[in-house]
Amino acid sequence: MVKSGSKKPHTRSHITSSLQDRRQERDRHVNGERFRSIWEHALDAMALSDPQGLILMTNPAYHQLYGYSSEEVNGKSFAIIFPEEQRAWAIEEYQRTFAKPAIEPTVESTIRRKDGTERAVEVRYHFVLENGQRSAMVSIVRDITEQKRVQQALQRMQQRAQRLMESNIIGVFIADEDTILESNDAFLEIVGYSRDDLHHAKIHWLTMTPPKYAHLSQKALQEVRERGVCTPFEKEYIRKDGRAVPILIGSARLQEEPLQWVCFVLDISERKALEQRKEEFLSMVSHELKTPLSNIWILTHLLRKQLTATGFQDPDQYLTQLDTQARQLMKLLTDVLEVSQLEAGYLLYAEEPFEMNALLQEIVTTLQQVSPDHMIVVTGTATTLVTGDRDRLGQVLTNLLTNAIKYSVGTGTIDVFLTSTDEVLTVSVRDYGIGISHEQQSRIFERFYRAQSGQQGNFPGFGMGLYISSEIVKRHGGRITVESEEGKGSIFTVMLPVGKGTAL
Amino acid sequence: MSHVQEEPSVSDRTEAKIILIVDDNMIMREYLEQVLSEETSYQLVLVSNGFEALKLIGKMKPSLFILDYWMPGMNGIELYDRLHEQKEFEKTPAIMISVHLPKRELAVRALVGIQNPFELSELLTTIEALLGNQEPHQQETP
Repeated sequence: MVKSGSKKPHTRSHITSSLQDRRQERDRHVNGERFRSIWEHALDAMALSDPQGLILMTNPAYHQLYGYSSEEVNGKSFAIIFPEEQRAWAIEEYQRTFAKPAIEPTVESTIRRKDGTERAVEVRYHFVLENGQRSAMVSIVRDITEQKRVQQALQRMQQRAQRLMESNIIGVFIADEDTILESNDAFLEIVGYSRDDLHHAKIHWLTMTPPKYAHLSQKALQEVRERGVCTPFEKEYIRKDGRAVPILIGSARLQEEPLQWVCFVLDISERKALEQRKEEFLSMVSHELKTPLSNIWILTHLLRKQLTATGFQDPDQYLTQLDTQARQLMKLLTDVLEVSQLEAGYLLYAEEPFEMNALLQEIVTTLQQVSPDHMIVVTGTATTLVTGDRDRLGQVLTNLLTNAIKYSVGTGTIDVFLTSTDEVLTVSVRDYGIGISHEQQSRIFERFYRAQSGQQGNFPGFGMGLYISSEIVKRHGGRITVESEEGKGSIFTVMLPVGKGTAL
Repeated sequence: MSHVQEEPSVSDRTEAKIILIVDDNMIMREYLEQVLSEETSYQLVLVSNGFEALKLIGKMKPSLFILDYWMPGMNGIELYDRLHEQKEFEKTPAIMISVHLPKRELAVRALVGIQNPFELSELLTTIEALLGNQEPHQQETP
């Protein structure tokens, strides 16, 4: 910088100090800008106050939080933000804080805004030091009302969940793939373990499940994974004392990875015991009623033998009729007892894969022997196995074929069609007999319903066979249908879901 | 058939294989005794309950058991299990004839169920299937 004229040139030091001043000036300016920017845009409310409690500075967040303008608070005692009756106390408290050697860095409290509403806040105090003296206090106030609300809501939810578990109305536990992580007392009581066992991760639901129920549990786990919940099902747990306890269990997924699920467990021992007693009672009734009947039948045979040996000829086949009547009564009795068992909810089914072709052949062969007037023709074969109770499904086929024979006297042929796909196995029994009217078709699977018509007056039975058959098919997850035209015959079709494995 | 069976009824075929029949129904015992002695050549031993049956097997070795299910004191399944607990009878076949067959129990045992009333031919076929093939049994001399 060269200046002409007589003016005394600046000394070097003068230039330097002037430069320093300007740099300092500029730095102060920059720092001031930075500070203002932070001050004005901070989310937390901030105020600076002197030792007497006069407010020196407030930021926009402060005005927003308290609802007072800058003019309303600046230069005033901070006590203005307190309700009138608290102001004296607030000033005293402030001055005490100012004099304290150390202060709580953060405190939670509640403030009242100018409009009277309250907010929950977290306040941090800090002193500004000048020459080692506290010259001012910085208050940074954070609005935590929303955070508090969420926390409280969360807490309430936790309390509710806790309450649900602790109500102990039914057993509840939370488990991962193997271990039971949490449970209520009701569950511990059902399985006979202590809370200590639970805390030491000693309760594993898989080892508590008897092997015969393992596949059910795996299926439920799969369902929970895929659908989030599983249909409640019955199984057993092995208690700590080794005793088995029958339970009803339903579950829902809590967390996907790693899997956590909540299970609801109901002890159904009493219901099972009652069922057992009912079943025993029915067995007893069955035995008591059938034994004398069986004896009548046996005695008929013995009588016939004895009479035949003495040369007696039964003129009107009375003994044969006696035999037929005894059998008829036995069949009805069996049906009545079976219906009561169905109503009571049991008649447990075996779960074995079996071959339908062979079963059908056996039944057809037997029936062909007793009904030589009809020709039973089987068309088609099944290429897959059916999983279920072979005897029960055999009972269904026997019932359909017996009906077909019974209601098609003199027509000669009964057709049986057998087919299968990967999903379903279908057996149809077709007769060319009297048929069933359209109105009656929808009702013939009802309990105790019998198709009525002038022609059918002479057919014996209680109308339980088709009801029992349809119940058996339903319990195998299948269905049974009828197509019929009066005077032309009927087709009964049984569709069953197929099991794994191939028949051929 | 009005006689009371105090002693086990034993048919007089000392050489033949033994069928032990256990049924509390006297009429049924009478019937089985009649028809089986006519239609087969096995030696028949008939008792009315499981306890008698268990006493008897110390003295003889039946080749087949025909059991009723519903009997006072010990049912046919319990009897089957107690008979088959013994090494000697572990593999001895058995038939259960009853008006009320416990199907679930049958399914887990080597026990053939015959629902009463039954066809005599069915019983005879079953007996032959279980006993006939092991060794040719002596034909009754007419």
